[in-house]
Amino acid sequence: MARKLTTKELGLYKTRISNALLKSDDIKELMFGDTSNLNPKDLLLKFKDHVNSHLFIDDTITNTSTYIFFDVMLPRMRPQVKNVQVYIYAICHRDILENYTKEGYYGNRADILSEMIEETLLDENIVKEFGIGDLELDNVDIYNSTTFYGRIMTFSVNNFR
Amino acid sequence: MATEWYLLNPPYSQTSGFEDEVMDFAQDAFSEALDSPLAINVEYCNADLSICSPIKAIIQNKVQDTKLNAFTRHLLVPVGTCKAGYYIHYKNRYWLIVGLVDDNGMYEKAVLTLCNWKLTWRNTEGKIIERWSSIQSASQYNNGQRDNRYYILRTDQLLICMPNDDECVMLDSGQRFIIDKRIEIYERNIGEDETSVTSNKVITYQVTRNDSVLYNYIDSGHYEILVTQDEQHENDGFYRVGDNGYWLCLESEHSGIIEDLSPEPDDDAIVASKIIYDDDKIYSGLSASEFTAVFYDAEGNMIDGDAEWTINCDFLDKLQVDYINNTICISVDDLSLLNKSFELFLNNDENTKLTITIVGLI
Repeated sequence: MARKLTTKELGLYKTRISNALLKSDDIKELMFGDTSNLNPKDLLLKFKDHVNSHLFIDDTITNTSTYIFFDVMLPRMRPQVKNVQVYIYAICHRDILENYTKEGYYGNRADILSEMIEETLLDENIVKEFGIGDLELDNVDIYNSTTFYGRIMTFSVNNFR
Repeated sequence: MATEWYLLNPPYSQTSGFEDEVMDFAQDAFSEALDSPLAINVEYCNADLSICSPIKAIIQNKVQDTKLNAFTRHLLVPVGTCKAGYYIHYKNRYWLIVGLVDDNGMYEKAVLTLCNWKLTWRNTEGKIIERWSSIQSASQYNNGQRDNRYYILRTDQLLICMPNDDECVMLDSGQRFIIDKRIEIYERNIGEDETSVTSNKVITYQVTRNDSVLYNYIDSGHYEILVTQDEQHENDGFYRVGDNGYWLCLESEHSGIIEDLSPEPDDDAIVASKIIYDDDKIYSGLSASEFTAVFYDAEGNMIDGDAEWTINCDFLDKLQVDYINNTICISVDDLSLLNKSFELFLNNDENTKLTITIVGLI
């Protein structure tokens, strides 16, 4: 049997993460508002505009929108096991930061979005799809730029090499 | 594992304790058996044979002595594969799954009965229906004759097992069939240009009892009818509809005489057909993509038609396929199929071929 490639997770986890985020009704409602009138193809296009599988954030974004950027890294490789880290930037334009509330959630729009992302990825149906054991949230930091503000979330999991 | 270390009476474990119970691996073990020479390739088909999925299975009970046991096979497949009322196509014969399919945690077992006749009839809408059926005698110990003072009639009763799809369940008492192997001999002498032949002697039967609940397993099941031999009517015989020939009884006790054998939807009226779709991609793990068949006449007007879909690929069993009228909805949730393509055909027409690719969201 061919040996599984060491860097396969870089793409595989991105696909799983984006599928999970798209399936979350709460995240879609936070990012796009009421999507009940959108057909699946338009919703998909809208989602792909606002959720990207890289951490490059264009400084010229002028839309007052919410974005999710994420990427996967392999910071440490040991002989049998490798450490896989997922970085997620959940950021909102500063003009819409304070105008969102939802029952059961607290804080501003960026806080709520980071909580929803945590709920989605740590859902029991999804959390075990990422290697040995569960995907774990290691760290939540702040993203602060001229026009955008949000959270930088770091998840990690180990997998066989 | 940690709790077992300090319990005074730890639960019995056949393994070292680092593995979960044996049954966690039981289904995997059976899957490995399917990769061995024990397993063969068969097809799992729905009632009208419009969907036939290739699967691997272990067939047992193959070499039997008695006549009745020779009609039965046992099918072993992974849990959740099949249901009663569907067909298995095995060694060029169709077998009907009878009995409630259940599992023992390792595999599920289905009992198959050989379908020895393709039953043909016209439903109340005039459409010709064909279903492979398992026919057994329900009157083994009579001499085939029933007489009174003045005349002698033939008598026979057959028990017919068939799928419990809508067409079969709607069969009513009085529906008549031709069940006679001689039709294969008669057909050799029927020319291509003959549209009907009613001069051959055939044995006809009429439904006198139907049991739709006895073998109803809620989400599956099969259907049984009892048919009694009756006398041949003058309209019973061979009819050519379109390019196909059928042996039909046009009269039934409750529906009266059906004078006009309505042709199948006039395929000549359909000049063109095409598949309408939003995207020729299916996103793995997301909602189904829809493909709708539309038909046009010679003047370019949209008309009604029946869509028959065919999917060509070697991973058909991993696709989830649903049908809503003339729309086929296809979805998949398997990342190992990313960037693989398959072909979708409408009514086996090469001109409508659509190549669909399975992609990820990234």
